[in-house]
Amino acid sequence: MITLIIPAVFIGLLFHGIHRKVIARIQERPGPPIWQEILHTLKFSFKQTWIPKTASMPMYVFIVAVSIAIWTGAFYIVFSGGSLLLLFAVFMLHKITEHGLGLSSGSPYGKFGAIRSVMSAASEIPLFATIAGIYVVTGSLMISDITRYQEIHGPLLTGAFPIAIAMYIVILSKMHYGPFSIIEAKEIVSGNRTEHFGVWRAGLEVAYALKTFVLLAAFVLLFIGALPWYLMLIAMLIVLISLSFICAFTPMLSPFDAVAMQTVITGVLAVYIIILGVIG
Amino acid sequence: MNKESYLAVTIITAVILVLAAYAVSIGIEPGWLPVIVVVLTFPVFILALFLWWNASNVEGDIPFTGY
Repeated sequence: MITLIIPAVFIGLLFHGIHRKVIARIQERPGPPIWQEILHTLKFSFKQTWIPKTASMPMYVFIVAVSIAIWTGAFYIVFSGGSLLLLFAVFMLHKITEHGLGLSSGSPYGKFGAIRSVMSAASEIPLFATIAGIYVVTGSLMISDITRYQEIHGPLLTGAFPIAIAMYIVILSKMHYGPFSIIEAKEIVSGNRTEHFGVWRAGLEVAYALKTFVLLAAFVLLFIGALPWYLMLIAMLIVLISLSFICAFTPMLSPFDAVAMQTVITGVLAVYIIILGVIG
Repeated sequence: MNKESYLAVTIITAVILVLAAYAVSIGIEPGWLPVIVVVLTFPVFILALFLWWNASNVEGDIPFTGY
């Protein structure tokens, strides 16, 4: 499984490129080639690199390493059939790294991004609904048990559709150029990543590629089940393209609207889970 | 740090990653140990690799890492 991390990084970067391409084609632009994000990461890794005078040096550097580390850990959790609670812990750590990224640079744009990251912690709330709903339906929080459950009872995508929607919204909130991507909105330049350039940005691109790969794989495993690797990749690609469509058609929400919408969605799902738990 | 130092860190972490992969393949116990090693080593490997090929061959603190 260790040898799969490097291919996962490249596939994640390729997915980012496909995401940009699909959005561009929907908006009637030619868009970049799909391998653009791979070139982008390599380009950053060759760019001049230093640490800004206003930055907190240890945090500025180590937050990049921590970002890569947590998604490497998440990769193992998902593919070894580990606990959903651990995956949830990774999501929480990711929030902290987003916040730390913005604060470490000392840039006002970065700090705005960091503040928005804290505000948009509501984007993690649908994950509570996913975890609770999956436990109510399958009786387990281990990914290996959940995939076994689906081999017997069929995919949770059809059996527990609202829970799948909750997880889908969590993934949507993590996608670039999406309606919930308020931490990297253009009015604050690149948000919390503004001052991370050169090698540091390349490292972040690696972390985010792993993040996209892990999130899409987790969705497929949790709601469709274990598939052969090529079908798994195709399923991940289909989920990604559907997300790209939403990102292309939906304007970026204001920070308050983003939080309100995610909270409302979670409330609706909470009602569904209560009904499922009582009646089901 | 200079270019040679970054190269040394890259090689050391690459060797550790290969050893961790081997440890997994022979089913070493406890199984979580090589995973922890990879989680801690992989970020260092990536950043050291990028910093190595980014660094100049001339003397000095390049990439510049602090005032």
